[in-house]
Amino acid sequence: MSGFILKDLYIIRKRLVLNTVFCLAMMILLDIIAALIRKEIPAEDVNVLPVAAAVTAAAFFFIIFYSVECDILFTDERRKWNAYSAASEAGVKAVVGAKYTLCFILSFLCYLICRLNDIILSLIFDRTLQLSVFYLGLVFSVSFLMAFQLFFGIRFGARYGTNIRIALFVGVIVLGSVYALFGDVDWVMREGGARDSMRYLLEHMDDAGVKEYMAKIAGGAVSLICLIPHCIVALYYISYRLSCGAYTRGTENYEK
Amino acid sequence: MKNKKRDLLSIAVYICISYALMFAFGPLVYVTDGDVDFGAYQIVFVLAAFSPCIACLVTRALFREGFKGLLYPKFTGNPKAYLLSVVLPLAYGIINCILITVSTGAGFSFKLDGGIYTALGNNMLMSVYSYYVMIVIIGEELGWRAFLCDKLEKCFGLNASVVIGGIIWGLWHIPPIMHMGLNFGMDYPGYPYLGIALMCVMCTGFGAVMQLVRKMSDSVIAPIIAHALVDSVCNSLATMFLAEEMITDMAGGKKFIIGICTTVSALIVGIPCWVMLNKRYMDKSLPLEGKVSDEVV
Repeated sequence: MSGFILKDLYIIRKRLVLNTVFCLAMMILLDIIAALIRKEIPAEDVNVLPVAAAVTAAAFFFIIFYSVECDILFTDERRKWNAYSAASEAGVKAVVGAKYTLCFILSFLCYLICRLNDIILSLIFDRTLQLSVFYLGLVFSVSFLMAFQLFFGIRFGARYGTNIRIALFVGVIVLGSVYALFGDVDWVMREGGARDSMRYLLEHMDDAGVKEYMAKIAGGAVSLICLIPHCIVALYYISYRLSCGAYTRGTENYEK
Repeated sequence: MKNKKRDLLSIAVYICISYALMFAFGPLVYVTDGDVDFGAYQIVFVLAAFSPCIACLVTRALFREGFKGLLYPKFTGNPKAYLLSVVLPLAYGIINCILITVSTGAGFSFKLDGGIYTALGNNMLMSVYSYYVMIVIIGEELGWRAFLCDKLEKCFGLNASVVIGGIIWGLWHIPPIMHMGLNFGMDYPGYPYLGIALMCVMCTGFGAVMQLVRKMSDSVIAPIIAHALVDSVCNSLATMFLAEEMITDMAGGKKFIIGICTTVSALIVGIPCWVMLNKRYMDKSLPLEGKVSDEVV
């Protein structure tokens, strides 16, 4: 399987290197901006600033790495190559497993970059900043999306998988925009509304804050929330098994 | 013979690096009151907690051993090993739970405020926390299992590798034992020497478990899963039957009693694993000299 991972890495290497360098550059830029405006903002916002910077950077990094993960689907688009790789000694499981493993490796790489950002922000603001729970949440979210996308991509072809993703994103953006323009947004803007909740969330998004929040809410609710990551792990595995089964039929949709 | 000398030298270099980092930075990270809110905390934490991993990478680079396949999972064909990496820590957790409940006289009923839901919630939270712990545990297991135990087994054989590896692993925990009372607290006779000795025993027990799953799966991922579960879910399982005030108030040597229960539980799970390890792998893991003499005979 490691051979197939290396093959996929080799194909996406340029984009991966470029995106990683871009993320690191953006991280440094964001951290410099955070350090510069540190003295300009009111004292009560100083605690929110590093968290906001870390969250913005993390969201940005994960979107970029998610797009790189989507590219993995485009590494095998030829029917003849797929027939060859499926007939090789490693078999379909290795070919499909390599894609799922590489997606996870890339999410993990993104997690490490975010943790590096935490270390830099901790040094700038001279306080311990750890958002590992939030980053793990993002890793699970990306894995959740990839579980669907990899299956649809393998079963119906990479373009079909991408079309589903684009349709979903466009749908969400259009609906959101229509609501923002014509809907009732008072619940966001009013005092104690969503905007203030977001501020509270930013202040308590680090690991200590999440722990505190989890301790506050009832045990049954915690159990349900905590089931989600395990379900995503199970879903990822089920998606892999289904993709193995659908691989041969899926390749019929590919180009010759 | 030349190979054995080289392996012994690499072990010495490995131990020096991992101990130097842990003893230099450990006291800054592992503090009793948990006041670690300073900018460089995470750098110091990585240097201390990941010291076995750093030592492994540096030693491998120094001795030109390469880094190939260090974290390769090898899931295919090894379902038993991965199943054991979950089942064995859970077995340890349940035994530990029973021992602590009996020895502290807590009795089998859900004593936490909120009853079974709170207890379930705590353990579910810990199960999610284990994903994060796994990342931290890579720093330990990459050193202890993927480097030290393999080398020790080559030089001294399987059984000696479990014992020596356990002692080296236990002694590495001296800074947290001394500075934050890891596992045994600070309120017991013979502090900290008794705690350090018990930690070595505990690590020997756990070492047998980790080495079994490591050898069965031929990958370091299985011991990482097992270790993460021990550090998260299993340690919180024991609190299910204890009253809230008992968990929060660990004064008067209570933590030491719980620590002894943990050590005994580790041995109860570790000894059968050790026996299994011997049955499965004893012939294949003679020390280098033994192998040579066998071939000559």
